[in-house]
Amino acid sequence: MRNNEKGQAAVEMAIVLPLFFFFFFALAELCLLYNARQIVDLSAFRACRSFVAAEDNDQAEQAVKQTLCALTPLTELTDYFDLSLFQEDNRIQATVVYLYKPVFPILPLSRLFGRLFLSQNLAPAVAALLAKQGSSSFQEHLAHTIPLLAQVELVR
Amino acid sequence: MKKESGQILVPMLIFLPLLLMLLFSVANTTLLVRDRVRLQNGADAAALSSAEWQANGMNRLATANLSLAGIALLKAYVNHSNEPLKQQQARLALLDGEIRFLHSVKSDILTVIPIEAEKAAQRNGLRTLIGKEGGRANSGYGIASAGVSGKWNFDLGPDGSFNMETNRVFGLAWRSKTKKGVLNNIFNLMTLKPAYDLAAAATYSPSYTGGEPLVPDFRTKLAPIILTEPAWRFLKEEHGLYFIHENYEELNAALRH
Repeated sequence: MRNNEKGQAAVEMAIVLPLFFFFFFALAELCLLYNARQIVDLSAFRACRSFVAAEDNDQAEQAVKQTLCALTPLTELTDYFDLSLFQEDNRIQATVVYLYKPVFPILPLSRLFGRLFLSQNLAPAVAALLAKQGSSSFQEHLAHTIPLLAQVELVR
Repeated sequence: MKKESGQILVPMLIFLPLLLMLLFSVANTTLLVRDRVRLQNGADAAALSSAEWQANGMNRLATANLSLAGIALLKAYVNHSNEPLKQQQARLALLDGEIRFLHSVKSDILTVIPIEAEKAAQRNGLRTLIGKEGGRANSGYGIASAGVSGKWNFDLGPDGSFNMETNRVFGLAWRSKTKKGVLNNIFNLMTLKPAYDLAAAATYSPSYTGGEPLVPDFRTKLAPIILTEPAWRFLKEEHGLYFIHENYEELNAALRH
C-alpha cells in the first residue's frame, strides 16, 4: 500500500513540475520582454531627441546604441536593431525595431508574446524595415527572435 | 499524505523570490524610463522657453537699433535743413527724447528678459513635468533654466561673437527626492535615486554676423549640449550637481554622444 502511494506522488510530481517550470519560465520571459520593450521605447525617444538637437543621423544611432547596449553587447548590436528617421516639415519621427533574443528559447510562448507587443498598425513599418535590410543578418535573426518596435514623434 | 502535500513548496520557495525580483526590476525600469523621458522633456521645455525669450529680446534689440539708426538719419537731415533755428531745436529735442526712450527700452530688455525667461522656464517645465499648472507640492520634481553660457546680449563668445556654438541656454530638470511609500522604498534600494537631465537650446539668426543686431529674425532651436566653463561652474556650484567627469571638456564629449 505504501509503495503504491509513493509511486502516485511521484507521478503527480512528474505532471506538476513541468507545468510549474513552464509557467515560471513563461512569466520570467514576459518580464524580460516587457523590460526590453521599455528600453526600446527609451532608445527611440533618445534617438528622436538627439536628431532634433543635433540633426545628425550618426548621433541618433549612437543614442540608440547607448541605450540598447543594456540588452545586447555593443559588438553584436548592429545586427539586432534598425533605426529609421523620418522628417516632415518640423515633425521628426524615429522608429526603432529591435530583435529581442528570448532567454528561454525553448518556449513557443515567447513568439506569442512578441505578437502581443507588436501593435497591428505598426506592422507595415516592420515589414518595410525588413525589406530594406534585404537578406542580411537581420532576416536570419528574425527566425529566432521577437521584433519589438517603438515609434516616437517630436515636433521641433 | 502529510509528507506529500509540501512537495511543490520547495521549488516555489526557490523560484518565487526570483520571480518577484524580476517583477520589481520590470517596474523599476518602467519608472526609470518614464522619469528619464519626463526629465528630458522638462529640461527641453525650460531651455526652449528661455531661449525663446532670448530671441524675443534680441528681436526687440534689433528693432530698437533700427529705430535708432533711423533717428540718427533724421537728426542729420534736421541739422542740415533750412528750417528756422527754433523749429530745428524743437525737432532735435523730440528726437533726443526718442533716443533716450529707445536706450531705456534696450536696458529694460537686458534686465527684464532674463527674469522673464526664468519664469517661462519654470512655468513651462512644471507644466510638462507634473501635468498641472502651478505644480504639486512635495512632488520631488523641479525645473529651472540652469543658466546661460554668457550674457543676455550679443557678445557671448570667448572672442566676443554671437554664434550657435556659444549662445546656449541650458535647461535643467531634476528629481530631487527619492519617492515615499512602501513599494517605493524597495525601488529606492535598487536604482531610483535623485536624477537630473540637461538640455540646451540655442538662439540663432540667419542674417546676423556681428556687432549690434539690426534684423529682427532671431529664432530658437534645441541644440546639442556644449558646456562652457562658466555654465559648468554654475551647475556645480549653484545646483550642486555631481559629475563623474571632473573636466567640462570630458563631460562635453560624454554628452555629445
